[in-house]
Amino acid sequence: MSKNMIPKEEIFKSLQEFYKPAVHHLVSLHGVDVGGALEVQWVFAHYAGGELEVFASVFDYADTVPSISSMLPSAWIHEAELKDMFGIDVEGAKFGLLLEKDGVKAPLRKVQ
Amino acid sequence: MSKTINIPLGSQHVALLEPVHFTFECENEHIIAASADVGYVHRGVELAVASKFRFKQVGYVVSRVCGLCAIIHATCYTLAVEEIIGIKATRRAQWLRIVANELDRVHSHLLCLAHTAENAGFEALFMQTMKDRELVMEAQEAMTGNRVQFDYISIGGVVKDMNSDTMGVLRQKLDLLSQKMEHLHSLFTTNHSLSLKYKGIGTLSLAKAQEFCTIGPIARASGLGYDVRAVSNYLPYDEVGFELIVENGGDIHSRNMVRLREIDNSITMIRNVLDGLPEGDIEVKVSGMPDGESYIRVEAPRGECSYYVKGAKAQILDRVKIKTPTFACIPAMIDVFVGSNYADAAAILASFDPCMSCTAK
Repeated sequence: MSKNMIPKEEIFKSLQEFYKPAVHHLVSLHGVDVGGALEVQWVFAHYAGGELEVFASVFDYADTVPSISSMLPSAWIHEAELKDMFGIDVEGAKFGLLLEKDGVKAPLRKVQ
Repeated sequence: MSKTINIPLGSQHVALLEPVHFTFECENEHIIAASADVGYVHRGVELAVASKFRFKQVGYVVSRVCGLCAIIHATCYTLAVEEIIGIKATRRAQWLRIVANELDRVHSHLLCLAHTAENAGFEALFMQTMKDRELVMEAQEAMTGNRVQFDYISIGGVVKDMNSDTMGVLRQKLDLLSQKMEHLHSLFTTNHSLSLKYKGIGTLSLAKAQEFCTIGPIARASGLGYDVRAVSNYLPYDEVGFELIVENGGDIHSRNMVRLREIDNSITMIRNVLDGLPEGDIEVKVSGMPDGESYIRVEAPRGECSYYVKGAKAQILDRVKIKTPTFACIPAMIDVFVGSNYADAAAILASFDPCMSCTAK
């Protein structure tokens, strides 16, 4: 697994330049709490095989993660899960995919 | 412009096996918009495995993500941990893992085909297919000790070897199932309720399949030849006769055909494993703690299942991310609903073979 760490300000542009619908598919979009901040990983596979391509950026809890739903329509469900599980704002994502509004908040955050 | 009405489907509905709720905005009989609520059975598995269980126990916890593909989850997690620790299962264990994974696929596909028949009003075939599926579950019991919820895969190998008696049971069950499969193929190809009725219904084009990053039998029924078993050699599928199955219709009928052909291929692969099972140990010694990250994909019955595991030389892992195939296919499912007739919604849903237990985890 090779991971490309990208500054958060440039991640959307990097993904936009990289992603080709007929060549790649989104395997996962998820967060990893790194203690007071969140590393968001966009994981892609080539349809033809080979190594996974992982793009990652570190966001503060108060940041807004850019959405890639405009170029990759199925990303919304991953983004909604990210918002539920880490309580981070994701552009255009609604809370409540997996959690209830009156239930626990941001269960996978390590620093509450 | 016609008046639109919102019609709910689920979370409890006669055509649904799984707790999922859809809201369809309909104009006459046509669905013009759809939304889904998929979180009814969220159990916090990702939180539990990164806070309450030691890494050697996690395989048994993630097996409980899904009753149908317990082996797949355990396989994926185990491979991810083995990669971080730097160990590899013996060849005999890898081949045995193939048998367990393919039996899982066969009984899962049979369940989906049974429910497809049920949705077509073919109750007798539903019951017949579920009866045939018992053969697979008996084979799984002979191999792993359990009919469902098997804890067969362990870090470093498998927990139980296969002797000649067990091989004999598996061969006998597979021979019987092969005969049943001929009948199923015939019915799903020629019976009006199962073939003509479903041709052109719930169609997902190749372009849409790519646009929505669709995976598994859904993608392969739309002509997208992607199967993790073909592109990632996580188990030695290239040695046991794996064949990539692709259909081009993109509709319910094509999905049924993909699953039927995949069952045949799985039976072939299991027979090949039984004929050529390598000698040797079934496990290697596990030492050390997970330190680092790994990302493993396997082909579950419903498509690509992936695990991201991160450890920091501690018994409790830092993070375990589980991405399940149904979760990834929900956006495509919603897109297929739009433009379809409401009357076909249940059949379309069944053809996606959704697993909400995996989705909500």
